[in-house]
Amino acid sequence: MKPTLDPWVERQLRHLPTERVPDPDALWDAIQTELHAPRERRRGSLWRRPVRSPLLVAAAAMLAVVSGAAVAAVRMYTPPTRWAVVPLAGAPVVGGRTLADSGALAEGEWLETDGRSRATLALGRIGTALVGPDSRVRLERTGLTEQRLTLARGSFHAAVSAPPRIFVVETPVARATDLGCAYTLDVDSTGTSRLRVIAGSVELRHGNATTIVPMGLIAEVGVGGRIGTPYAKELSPVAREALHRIDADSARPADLDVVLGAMYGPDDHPTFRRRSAITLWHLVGRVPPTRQAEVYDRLTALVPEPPGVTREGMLALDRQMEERWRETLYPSWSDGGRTWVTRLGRRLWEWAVR
Amino acid sequence: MGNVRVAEPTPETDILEGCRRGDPEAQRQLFERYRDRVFSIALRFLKGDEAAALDVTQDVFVKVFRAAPSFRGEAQLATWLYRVVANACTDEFRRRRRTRFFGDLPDAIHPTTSPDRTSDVRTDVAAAVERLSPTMRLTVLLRYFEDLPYHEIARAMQCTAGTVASRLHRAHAILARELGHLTSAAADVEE
Repeated sequence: MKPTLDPWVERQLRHLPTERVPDPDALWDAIQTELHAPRERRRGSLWRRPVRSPLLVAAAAMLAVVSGAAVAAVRMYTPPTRWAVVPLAGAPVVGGRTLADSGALAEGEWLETDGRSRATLALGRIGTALVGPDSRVRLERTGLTEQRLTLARGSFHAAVSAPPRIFVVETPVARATDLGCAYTLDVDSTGTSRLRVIAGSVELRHGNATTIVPMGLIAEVGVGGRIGTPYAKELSPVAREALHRIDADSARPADLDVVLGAMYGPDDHPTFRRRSAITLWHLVGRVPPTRQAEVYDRLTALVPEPPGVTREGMLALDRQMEERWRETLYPSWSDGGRTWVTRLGRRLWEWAVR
Repeated sequence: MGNVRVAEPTPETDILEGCRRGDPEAQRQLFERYRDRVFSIALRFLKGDEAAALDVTQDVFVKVFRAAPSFRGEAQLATWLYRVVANACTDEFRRRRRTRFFGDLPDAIHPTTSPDRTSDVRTDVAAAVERLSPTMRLTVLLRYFEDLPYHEIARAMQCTAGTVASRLHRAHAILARELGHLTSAAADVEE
């Protein structure tokens, strides 16, 4: 291919005038200045150049927002390594030192109160606890994904505002995992632990057994025993004693009658009906087979069977049907009852913290 | 009256050697020798934007002086310089195109083709060159304005001589179409 150009046009092109640099000395000075600029300044001039792409700007903005949110979340939930302690009465002891004014509890240290002292304990940045008289509390771990205490004895009232499963309290026989709540945990001298949930719900674990205790219910775990059937906080002492004997497999036939007689009826408020339903749901598998149908009928009188659950299946203690019943009885943030966005958010958080 | 002694121009090899050592005198000589040519190419390529052309010129010499120690001399100094010019012009063109995305910076902020310095014909010729695509524009400038042979243009633009020929062929067709109304009339006047 031999390119050709009109000779006249070529002549005009060749005779285009050479333009002169307007101020050569100024340009030379500028070159020398740039040539001998320190490396930092050179890099600075690079950064001062115009933004190269709107997509880059958008990506940078998105990155800044995400990074900011991540930093904020980490700062919000990362606990300090020492948790503040303020005496409310008497002279609590922290790490072997008597606390006169205020102090801090470090990992591995004990906070102890005698019969006349009480204290508040900051739970990192996620809540506050009230440590009652005759209590022993040790700070075990202050991580981002788990903040753990041991309550060896005494009473401990916690109010927590954090994603589920971050705050955990161990007792000699159980583990209470916060699911977003306020609760009181009492441990007596034998180690028996009693959980009373005031708001939200708490997961109570003993060995491999787990139950979720929602607001308004109490559950107990005895030394060597199993997790007790959760019951409404207003249940009479007589009915509680009968329930304890059923849980301990030492019940008399009349004990179940006492418990069933203390349950709410179909005409009561749904909140109270649900509390009794949770007790009855646990009892179906704990009473003698000859009385399971009686308990189950009381349960369905309070809360209708969910779809896919049959009487025969529940009396045969079918695990899948029991689980469907459980989901009906615990419409919490962790299960149904919320939008898919909150469910997805919870799943992502749980995946992240694990 | 004695003979007037005229200083011999310094050979390019000496200038290049001085630039490799960072000798300011050699750098100044290189600058004096090529500054207007570099500026002119940049000015034509950037459609008369004098400020941008000065930036490109400054950028070219800074890059050349910085890279001189590693220049191995496989090409002529001028060819290497034109390669830096071509890259700088292309970079500047890309930068302007991206910046224009945001809605500012017209093509020419300070057009330098003033009526007292160029004829109408030259203005039309320069305008026709400015309307070529960037690669064709640069090829035409190096071919006719700098009078470089094909292989030198190919080295400067980092392409093959065949690509240079192809670009020139297409550029000739475009220029012939755009300047066709001038050729016969102008030829008559010249005769």
